[in-house]
Amino acid sequence: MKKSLLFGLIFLGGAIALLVSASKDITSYASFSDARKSGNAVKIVGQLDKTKDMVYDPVKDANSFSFYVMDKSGESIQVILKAAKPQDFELSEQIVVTGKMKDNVFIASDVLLKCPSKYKDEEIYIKSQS
Amino acid sequence: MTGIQYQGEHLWVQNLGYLFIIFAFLSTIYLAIIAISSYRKEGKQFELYHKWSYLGLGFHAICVLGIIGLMLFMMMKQYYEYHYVWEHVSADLPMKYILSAFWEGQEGSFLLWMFWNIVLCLLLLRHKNQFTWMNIGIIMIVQAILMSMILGIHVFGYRLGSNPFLLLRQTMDIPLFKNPNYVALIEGNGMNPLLQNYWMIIHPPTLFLGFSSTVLPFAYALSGLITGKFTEWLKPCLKWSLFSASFLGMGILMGGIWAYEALSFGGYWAWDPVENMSLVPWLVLIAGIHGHLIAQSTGYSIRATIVFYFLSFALVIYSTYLTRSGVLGDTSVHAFTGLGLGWQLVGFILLTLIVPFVILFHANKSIPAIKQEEKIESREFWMFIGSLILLFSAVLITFTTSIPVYNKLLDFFGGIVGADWKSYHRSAPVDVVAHHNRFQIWIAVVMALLSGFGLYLKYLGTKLSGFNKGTFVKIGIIVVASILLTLLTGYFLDRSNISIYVLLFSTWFVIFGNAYYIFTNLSQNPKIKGAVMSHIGFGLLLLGIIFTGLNRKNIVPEKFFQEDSIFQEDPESINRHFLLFKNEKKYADGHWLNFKHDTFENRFRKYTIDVVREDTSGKVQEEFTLFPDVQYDNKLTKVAAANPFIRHYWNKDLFTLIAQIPAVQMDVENAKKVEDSLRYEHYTFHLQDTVLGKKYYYVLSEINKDYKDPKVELNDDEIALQFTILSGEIGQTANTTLKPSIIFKTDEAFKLPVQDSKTGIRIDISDSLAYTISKMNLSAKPVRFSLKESEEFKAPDDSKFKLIGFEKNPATKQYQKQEGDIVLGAKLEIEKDGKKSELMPIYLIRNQAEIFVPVINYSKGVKLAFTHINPENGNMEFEYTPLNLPQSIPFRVAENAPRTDYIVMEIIEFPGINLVWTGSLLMVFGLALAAYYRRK
Repeated sequence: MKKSLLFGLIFLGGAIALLVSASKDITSYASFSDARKSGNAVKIVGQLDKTKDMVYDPVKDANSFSFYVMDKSGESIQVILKAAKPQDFELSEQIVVTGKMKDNVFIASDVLLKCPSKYKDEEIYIKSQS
Repeated sequence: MTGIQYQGEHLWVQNLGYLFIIFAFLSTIYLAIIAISSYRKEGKQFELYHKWSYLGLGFHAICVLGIIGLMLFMMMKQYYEYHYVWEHVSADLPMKYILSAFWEGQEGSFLLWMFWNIVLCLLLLRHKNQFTWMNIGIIMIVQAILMSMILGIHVFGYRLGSNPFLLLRQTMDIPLFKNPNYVALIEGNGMNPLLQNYWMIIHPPTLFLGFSSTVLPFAYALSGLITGKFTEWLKPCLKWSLFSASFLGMGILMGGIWAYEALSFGGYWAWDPVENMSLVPWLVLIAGIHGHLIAQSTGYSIRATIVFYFLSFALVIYSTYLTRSGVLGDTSVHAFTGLGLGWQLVGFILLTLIVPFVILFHANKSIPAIKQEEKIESREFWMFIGSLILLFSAVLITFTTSIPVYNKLLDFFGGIVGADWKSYHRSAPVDVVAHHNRFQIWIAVVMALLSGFGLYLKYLGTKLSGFNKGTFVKIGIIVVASILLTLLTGYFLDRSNISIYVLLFSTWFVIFGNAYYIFTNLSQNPKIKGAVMSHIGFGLLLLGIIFTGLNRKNIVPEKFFQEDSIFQEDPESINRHFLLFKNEKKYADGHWLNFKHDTFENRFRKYTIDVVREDTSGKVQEEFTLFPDVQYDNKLTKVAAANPFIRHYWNKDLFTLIAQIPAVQMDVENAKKVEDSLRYEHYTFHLQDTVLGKKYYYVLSEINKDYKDPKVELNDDEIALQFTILSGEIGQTANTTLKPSIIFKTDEAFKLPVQDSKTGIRIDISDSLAYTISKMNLSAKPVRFSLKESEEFKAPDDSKFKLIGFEKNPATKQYQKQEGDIVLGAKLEIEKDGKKSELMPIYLIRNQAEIFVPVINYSKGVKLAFTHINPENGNMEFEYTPLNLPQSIPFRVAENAPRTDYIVMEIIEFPGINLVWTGSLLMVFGLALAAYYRRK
């Protein structure tokens, strides 16, 4: 039994080590003030602040899209996404931005949108008269 | 809303559908009981039970096919009063996607699953053995649970399942349903445009066959435990495990191909929760198959195999829960949204976890196990380690993918104790791809090393002395060859480090190790061909992953990184996209790109981009054209998806995508916003006069009255005008020509404004012109005159009219002859504004009344009526109304129109992508081949 016990223990040890290591990647949703403090890449969940302007001018820079996100604490911060403006951006209910804070602007490398599902969309299209 | 007699509803579909569902559900329960209890029967009774089981299965199959058939029928007939039809079908949905629309929804995909379960039962009956009816009974229990997902009945206030035959008005309460004739008013929502892709026709059925067939090893293992035949189930089960792994693998692969070809993220695997949870059951199933092989050859690891098979099936159910309960929420782009099936699915998971494991626990002691340990030099020892590592890979993936579930559990238990634990919520890793890759790469290294030499070992071990020189030499050759191949291929990698070299070595080790085995050992055991093929496939897949991952690059115009960029460590995240103006060539990394044109057709805006690839010395290597497109939603209100265009080479792919298009083309709302932001100035133009704008001047040089718009058909009494306006910067010569136009149909006018992208000029015809022209007919003063044949009349405006003849049987668009008509058409030659033409007004007497059918021709500027025939002197009387177009044309001009002649593109080069596909296919075919060898 010794050999299998030994291997079993090695496996268990390795497994626990890997799981602990994996769980380090699992972050809590941060706020902008956390991002400011840590300086590391964080994920922020918030909503698109529709009262402020969205700017995407591809003629100037195709890889810069600026908008404002309000995080869960209610702070609204300018976010610059270093890519083209994603589709259906205006429709998003919730936004998850990944990036870092720099001079009070959040520079995002990635953005994930949660859009209202088409299944919840209870709008019924009425046939046009033609 | 009772009491309303609705019209146009096809309620018989619902009635019949409910009937089929109830009977299908009841027959599963009946069949489960009969089939499982038949096991203990003998002789005549045994026969009788089987007869009844056959009948039950046949009946059940008819009911399920009936449900599916009815659903397809109402979808094809577009019965929009049904929620499912309204949700997934629209009038413009091509028939070829009707099946995709069918399994787009949850209910449809559950039915697809049930359909495969029935097919599996029939397949089992082809190879009957002592476990067959027990297996069918177990499958029927699963089927009953699946059936409950589409029952849609209320039990103790909880709705069980979601019924596909619900009427729209039963699912929502809106004022529309006060109208008894609402059916005539609604049209379908239509299918998600992203899913209107041919992969969506074959990927879901394949994946679902894979998912559903994991029930076979599960059922066999459970049957073995229940019947106490702990080892006998192994042999007949193996082919089904391989069958299932093959189809599940194929399904996952097709999902990857679909994601790569149809989605915009530019890759075949994104560690998306939905992808992960289809991979995990497969990994565990593969672990189970290896355990199974050990058990069959040596008698070791029977229990482990059972556990693997149980887990694999439970993970399929867990995956169903994750993707269908809505729990994934913001972590996945393509999860289904919840239909309130969450708790029902949780119950299903608990059932598949608890019941089989309780049975296993009870039978545990009776399962034969070999007391002696496996030898370290035996094949089974290393295979088992491989299985454990596969299991561990699955555990790690599941661990991270389940984060939303932990949050949900926190909420649930927090709710019980009355605490708010929201602050403990966790989110998925910031860089989920890097997170998974970091662990899975090392797992892949170990797996590759194990699969590289495993075949050279023998079951039950070879004594070290007999662990002969030959084997050592062979492994030595493999190691040396792999090192050489590693160094050779490593040279072609754009980026590398020591761990990449380790991975590359293990990759070559498994490829070469198995390839070498074909030449040296295969004759000994032909059955192992499948394994060798799969292992080589695994290696090629790894090689493909290495090359696509490390050598993938974005083709961008200029690669500059800002000095202070915080993304220096991750240069891929910036400057992926670039702008391309129409007909303005741009150089990007060896490619001259020229966006030639775009055409709008059938909900697609297709782009044509010419590419010339040059080598470093500027010599042309090849010329080709890219055709990416964007797809608008079913109502043409906005862009719904961008479809990549992929150019394939033997060694790489060029993946091209339209990332952005001008706002006015994006959607109706943006177009309106842009229109509102334009600053229009109103000007009145006269022919050949110069009008000064703010920055540019304009000259109306020509009015084309005979303009024919290719899309609009005009009658004689309708007109289209095209204006030619020359423009230039004030103080410069004119260099821009704009041609706005306006079309007057009998009851409506269309304006076709034009825009010049370079200058930002947009010219639109004022609405007042349409008004002026429509009233022209009424305001002009008619001129009356009478003529005899070949006489001429000159009107005050110098127009000349000459009566040249008559037509006794005139037929025109405006006049059709009726019985009793006395009719005469007068042919007149007209000369107006120096142009000659012939017109024929018509005079008739119908029912003793004089009627005249005038000719109205805007482009000739004439309205002419034949009003009377004087019986005394034979004079023909006419009435001419000049229809002169106004001399001054009102326009509105904006000089700040944003450019609309560009696209934002992304081009990615994927080297080695074909290795990914080839490797995956070999793995899948290897599994299928192994199943084929064991088909008997």
